[in-house]
Amino acid sequence: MQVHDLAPGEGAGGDEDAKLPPGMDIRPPAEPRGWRERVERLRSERTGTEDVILKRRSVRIYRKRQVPEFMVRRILEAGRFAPSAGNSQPWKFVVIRDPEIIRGLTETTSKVAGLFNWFLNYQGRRFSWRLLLARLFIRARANDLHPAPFSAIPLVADGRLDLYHGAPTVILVLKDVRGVSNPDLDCGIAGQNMALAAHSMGLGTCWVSFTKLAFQYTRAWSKKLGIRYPYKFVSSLAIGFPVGQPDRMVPRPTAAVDWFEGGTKRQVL
Amino acid sequence: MFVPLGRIPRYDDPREMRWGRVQFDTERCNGCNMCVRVCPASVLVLDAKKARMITDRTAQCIACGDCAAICPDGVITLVESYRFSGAYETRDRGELLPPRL
Repeated sequence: MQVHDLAPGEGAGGDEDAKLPPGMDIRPPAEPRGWRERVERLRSERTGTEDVILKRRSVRIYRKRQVPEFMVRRILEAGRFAPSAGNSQPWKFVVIRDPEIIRGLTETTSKVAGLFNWFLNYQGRRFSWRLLLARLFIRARANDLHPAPFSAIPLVADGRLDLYHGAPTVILVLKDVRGVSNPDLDCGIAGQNMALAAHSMGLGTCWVSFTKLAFQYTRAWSKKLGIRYPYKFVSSLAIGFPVGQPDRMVPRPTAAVDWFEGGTKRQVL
Repeated sequence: MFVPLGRIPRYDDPREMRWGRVQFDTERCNGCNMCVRVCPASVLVLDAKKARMITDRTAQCIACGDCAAICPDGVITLVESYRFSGAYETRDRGELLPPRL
């Protein structure tokens, strides 16, 4: 469902449609009258886009069947058309469809995680002296060692957690470090475009940033995959056909929002 | 990023870290194992053909809700999200709610 702030007929568009080169005439059909009623209707129903955003879930079991190449290309197109600061498009995508490379990346990450785990494992009487070391390490690498996925580090170190969950296709998202302002964010936006495009095709996706360990702490994979200046690994996206039906709305904690209006501040939950 | 302030909580102490919690309607669970397979934190196990959460304190549910989403019978509900103390104190978060209009 389309909702525009402009009344029909206002703003750009209209007659120029005929001049558009083939392939670019993808604008939605002209808005019929009654946009005010449409806005009112929004009070009681969600738009299709909202539905997709609310129902999309990360997929963690994939079918073995490979994703057809044309679909991957289409997903990349969705990423290409993402907004970016100064239209700098500071990204590069690397598509990996060789299971050996995916397995190799997982193994290297597992080794680095094993090293992390050695520093951090203070459980058990024999290791309690490591508590101090672990606290310092966690403080210094607060993002990498955040408590939320903490149990994942031992799991990955033991090789018990398959990072890409058996996905047949993986897209690495690299940033151009010279990008305008905040290239990481631009890569994230492009990635979300790709994830939603993939979802609309019935594919499942899962963001995997754990492999950052393999690129950050070792040289081998950057060399093998030819990742060099100005590109740097940001995250990766596992893509494949999902097993089961993973899409459903699930409760989330509400987040307090500060709302400034009419000269006062209030908090909205 | 370096965190200069706040005690780093002990990752295995339930007083300093509260993990997520899911509830099972055990009667209706048919033991299809889907939730156990999707759980990214590996905190679910199949026990006598019924799924349940590991009560061991090393089990660290991140309250993602993937199990609740994939369960074909809608047996699983996410009832609690995680909370941390000290340097990782969880801030500005309210109760668990489904999407609102």
